[in-house]
Amino acid sequence: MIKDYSIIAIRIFLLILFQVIIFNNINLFGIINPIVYLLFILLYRFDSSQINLLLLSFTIGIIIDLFSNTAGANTIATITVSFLRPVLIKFSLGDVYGFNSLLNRNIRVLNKLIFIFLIVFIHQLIMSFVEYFNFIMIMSIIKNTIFNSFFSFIILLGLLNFYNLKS
Amino acid sequence: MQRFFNTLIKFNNFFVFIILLFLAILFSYNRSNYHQTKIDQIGLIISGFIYQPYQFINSYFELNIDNQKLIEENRTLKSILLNQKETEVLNGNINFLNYEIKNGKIIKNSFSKARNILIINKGELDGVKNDMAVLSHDGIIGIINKTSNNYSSVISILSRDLKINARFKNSNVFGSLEWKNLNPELMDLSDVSITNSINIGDTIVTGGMSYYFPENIILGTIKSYKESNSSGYYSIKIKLKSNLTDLNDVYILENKNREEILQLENFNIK
Repeated sequence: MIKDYSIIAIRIFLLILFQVIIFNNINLFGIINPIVYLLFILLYRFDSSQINLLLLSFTIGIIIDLFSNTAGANTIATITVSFLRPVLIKFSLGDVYGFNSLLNRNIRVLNKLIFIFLIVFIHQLIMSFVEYFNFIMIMSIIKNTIFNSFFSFIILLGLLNFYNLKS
Repeated sequence: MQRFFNTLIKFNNFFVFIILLFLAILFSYNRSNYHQTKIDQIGLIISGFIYQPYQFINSYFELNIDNQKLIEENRTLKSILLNQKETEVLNGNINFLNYEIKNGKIIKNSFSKARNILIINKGELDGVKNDMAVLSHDGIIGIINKTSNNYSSVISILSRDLKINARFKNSNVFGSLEWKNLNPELMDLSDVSITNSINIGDTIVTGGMSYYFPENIILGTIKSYKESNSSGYYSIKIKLKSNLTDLNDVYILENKNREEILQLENFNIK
């Protein structure tokens, strides 16, 4: 139990560190900053407490917001995604009896990809909407969402692969 | 009660999510000026939408009183107009006037808080902008501070933060009018030096030293005053002429020279 919690704490700490120091400063083509801290929501075990996940993602969001000078965009997007996560799991992975983590090798690759993409896309959509907060800027919001979620998706896949090899 | 708690336990994720979402919105409201303005605007639209039908029904019950007020106002305006020697205004050319007047209706009035905000049913689409003055048929009401497309909110003169430039009608002694107590009929006039002689019943009008309100609008009369020798100023209580608790129709004033005055002021600061 304590081992599980300490793994989660270390994971959160490292992800925030990576996000703030490296990935927030990439600014590829001026708008692309991949989101890596979503790896925490992806790796969170399916059978663990949902309320803990909500509280943890709120904490992560607030810390990232404080460090990257955004006004609550990360927080709102992250808690919404973690609230929607059970629905997304049911939608993309089907019945999750038997496997309780995304790292399980019995899950089909396509299902995994759909799950990761949905989480990244919804997160980016809400985040850029809160950042612009204006319907007139809808084109910028869509552009931002598509590019950012594409790049975040690729980087998260890479990180997950690395995790898979390690475990 | 048991059922209530059961629902709470059943949907606990949802409630936690709503609480966290509320906290996050509060966070962004406090952190960014842009989000604050936008969220305020949404609030204004919602409260305008809620209070509009209520005002619509309520206005029918006050038609008699409103008509009486309008007749009274018309009578005074007529008497001023007929006694005026210059009849230039009557020739139809109103472009040289300093103020442009729009009318509106109050949707939500408030007078019992420390900072009172009113909502009126005219917004940006009707040409209402920030910092315009709002008048009633017999006095001043406040200053516009936020606008959405169809509604605007007004800071009432019954507000702790607002000071209004005022002067005595029959002398040129200036003071500033502010609201210190919670009585919507009484206001305080400060900054009047004890070297001037004043009497109970003297009339107070708006002074011209502000670009919000025009000069010589009657505000009220002196109800009582105290001399405080230590500070060298009177503390004066003013009884307002207009009844701010019973308002329906308002006039919104646009000062055409405001830009020019502001430019001059900024020029001097530099």
